[in-house]
Amino acid sequence: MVGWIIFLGQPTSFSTKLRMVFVQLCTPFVKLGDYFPFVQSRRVLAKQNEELHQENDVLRQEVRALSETGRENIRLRELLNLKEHTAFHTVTARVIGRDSSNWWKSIQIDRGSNDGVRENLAVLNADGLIGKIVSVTHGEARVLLLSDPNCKVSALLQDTREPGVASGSDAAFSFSPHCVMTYVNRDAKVKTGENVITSGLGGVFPKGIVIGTVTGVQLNKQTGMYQDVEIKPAVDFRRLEEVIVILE
Amino acid sequence: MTTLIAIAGILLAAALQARMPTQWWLGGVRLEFLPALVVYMGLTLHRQRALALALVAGLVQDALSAAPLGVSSLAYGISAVLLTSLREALDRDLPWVQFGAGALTSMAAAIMAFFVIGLSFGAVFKMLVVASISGALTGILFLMFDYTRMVWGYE
Repeated sequence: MVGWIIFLGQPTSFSTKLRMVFVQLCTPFVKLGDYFPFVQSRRVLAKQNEELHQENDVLRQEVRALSETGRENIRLRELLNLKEHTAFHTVTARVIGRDSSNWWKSIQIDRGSNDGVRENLAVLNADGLIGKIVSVTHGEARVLLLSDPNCKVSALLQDTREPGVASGSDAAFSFSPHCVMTYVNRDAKVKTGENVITSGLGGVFPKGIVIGTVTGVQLNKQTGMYQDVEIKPAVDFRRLEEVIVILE
Repeated sequence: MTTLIAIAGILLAAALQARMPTQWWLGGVRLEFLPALVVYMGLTLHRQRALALALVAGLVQDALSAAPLGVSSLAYGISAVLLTSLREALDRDLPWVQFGAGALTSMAAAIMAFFVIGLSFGAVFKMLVVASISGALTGILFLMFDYTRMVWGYE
């Protein structure tokens, strides 16, 4: 039995197909949850509404400011004859399930290979990076969240331009998930509140997607050769409803 | 309890696990219903059927997770074999037996997971919390299912 289980754990086409069968068997049951939404209290909804109004006002101001910056950007590009960035080809997906286990952090989305989704595609929302696709069926896919220690992202500190690797923290027992950026140069002057973005290295995550902000820095306890940077993710992983998958 | 009803129960329990948000009042852990089901089947059904259903429960849990396929299956399979072997020595109606079996089954799945994700102090503490909750859920499940069997005469 142990040998059989070890065989199943390998990424073979048989185990992929078996997983696909079980996912397709379970998905109708998972989707049943749509008919029983969790009721939120009126006070929570009113508070949420007020916050959204405030956010909307701020965003409207920012859009006005950005539209002027955009025009300036076009003029400068023309002046310098720079090639424009190609826009991402994306697909929007709805979150239909979370991870059934306490030991991994992932979500299930309602888009699969029929919609062009495949393994190792980046997933994000308006706030920032969410994770990457790890398994796909015809109609669904599973996204490994950035808060999982197995999700490694090549990252960059936005101000100091120091590279490193961001991943979920293994502090399993925490109320809010947080991440850690390792292999940061020990001499780098990392500031609290600095943004962390994807570096674009590795070919999975495009450059410039926000990962989070720095909340703390300390020298690596085991080797002392580099710094570990604690990151507060930009995305609230507990409240994911819709996500964007970058197809190319 | 027919095999089909058991499989439907496993699928429903796994889907519920995957749909329910983590509970902040439990320290951000997710409620696990499958260990309770595995214990109930292990202390109620024939060995082969209990083992097969425990393996299915593990595979379903892994399919709805980012875990390598088979990790939970192995834990639940071992648990089912042990429970069916020790059935003569265990009084399934005792609440502490139900609690202990549920907690140990949940811990077995966690220990298998640690082989993949690694071990940390936080993870061990979380395992103890999850195991305690699973143990309590096992007692509740026994109460519900035994009452249902008594009322409707299910086997």
